[in-house]
Amino acid sequence: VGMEQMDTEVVETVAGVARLLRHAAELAWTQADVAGPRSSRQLLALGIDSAADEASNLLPRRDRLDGPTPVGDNPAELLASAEQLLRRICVVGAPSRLFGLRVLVAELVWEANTGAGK
Amino acid sequence: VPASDTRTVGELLADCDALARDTLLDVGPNTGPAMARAWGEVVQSAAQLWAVLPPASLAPASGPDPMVRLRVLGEGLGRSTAGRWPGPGPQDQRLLEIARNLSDTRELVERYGRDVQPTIDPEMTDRLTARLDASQVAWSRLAKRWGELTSPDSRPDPALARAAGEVRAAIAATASTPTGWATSDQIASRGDLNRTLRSLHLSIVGAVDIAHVAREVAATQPTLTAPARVIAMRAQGEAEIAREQGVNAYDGITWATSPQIATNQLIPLPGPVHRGLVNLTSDVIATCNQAVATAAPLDPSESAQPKKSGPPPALRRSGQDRTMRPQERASEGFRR
Repeated sequence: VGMEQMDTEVVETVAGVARLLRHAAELAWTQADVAGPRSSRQLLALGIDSAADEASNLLPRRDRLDGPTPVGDNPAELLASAEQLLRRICVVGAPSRLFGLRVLVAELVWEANTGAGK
Repeated sequence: VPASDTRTVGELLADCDALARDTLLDVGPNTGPAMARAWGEVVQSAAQLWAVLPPASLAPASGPDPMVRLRVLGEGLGRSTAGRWPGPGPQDQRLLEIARNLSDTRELVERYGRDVQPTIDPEMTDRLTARLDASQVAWSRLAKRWGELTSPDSRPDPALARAAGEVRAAIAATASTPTGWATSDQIASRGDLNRTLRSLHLSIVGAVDIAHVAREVAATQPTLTAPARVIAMRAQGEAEIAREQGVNAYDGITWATSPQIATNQLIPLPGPVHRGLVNLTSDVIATCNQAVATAAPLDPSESAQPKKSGPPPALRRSGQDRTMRPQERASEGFRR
């Protein structure tokens, strides 16, 4: 199934995921900046940025991405929310890139909770 | 070399590079004559420095020495400027400063070059680390500014996103563990340190080019747009900074209309926002140049080879053409 064939609900969910990831990336970069130029948190922030980019690029250009800024100030929790949303739409027949994004976000959730990003 | 001038060879050459780029940004019909009058001195100083630098390789040169042709052209231009166009008049001060820097560099190489060994001492490592930290902070500030000017609806360039993912994967594989940065022993065991050193040096030098392209885009791209709300906020902030610096040209100007702000319409970047981006990028360029100058001893592609007499490889000639073609690169623009 190509990305162009996603139904409206899936498109809106992916847009929500993109907003969650973008906000999580902003927070992660702020934390990395506060921690200083050699902070290992940069690696997590870069990873979340990449995931947000991937989510944005999953959506057709005609679809708008703007919307309310997600509530929350903890990147790990925002990542977990994004992963839960992705789990709902990663069903049989969904585009393979959607599954790839879910794997990426799941890894970032683990990283944010256990490793350098904490 | 004046006793008060404590710049190293690397710093002198980095200053030449920065001055040359600044000069090229300001080229116009009015600046041409002064530049033409000073050009001969620049070429002459460059040729004299070139003559004292040992070749990068002991093998015979594969092609003609480019400096010979440049010198001939410079001498021809010198004869022309003295007799016909542009005739007597002032010389471009930045080109003259480049010529002075090149002459000072030649003196340093002649005086100390043969005593210098290609070593990497701990002090150099500390200095370079501090320079890279400063550079990282400057890049981070600039990235944040570009990021906030990005439309929420824009899509990142897939190639850029892919490259970022690859950079992250490479860093994670070589320098990271599940709990943070790897130790130096772990990093040493995972890769070829000599290759890493060469890559690091190339990256530091490449960052200067990228920073100049970013500044040129910020200064000259008329098609840049951003959401009205962030423009209104940023333009006001930059106008206040400009006023503190004695620039009143932005006072009393409304940067975005109420309807534009209500719909967060994409509008062209106004002057103060361009100015803010250029200032942030200038900070990046300054910190990158300092890092390049400090990292000069890392330049040798054979840095791990046994020490031998002669100037450090950082001082050797290279036939590589790293000339930036700003127009070509700037035309690629930013996708987000």
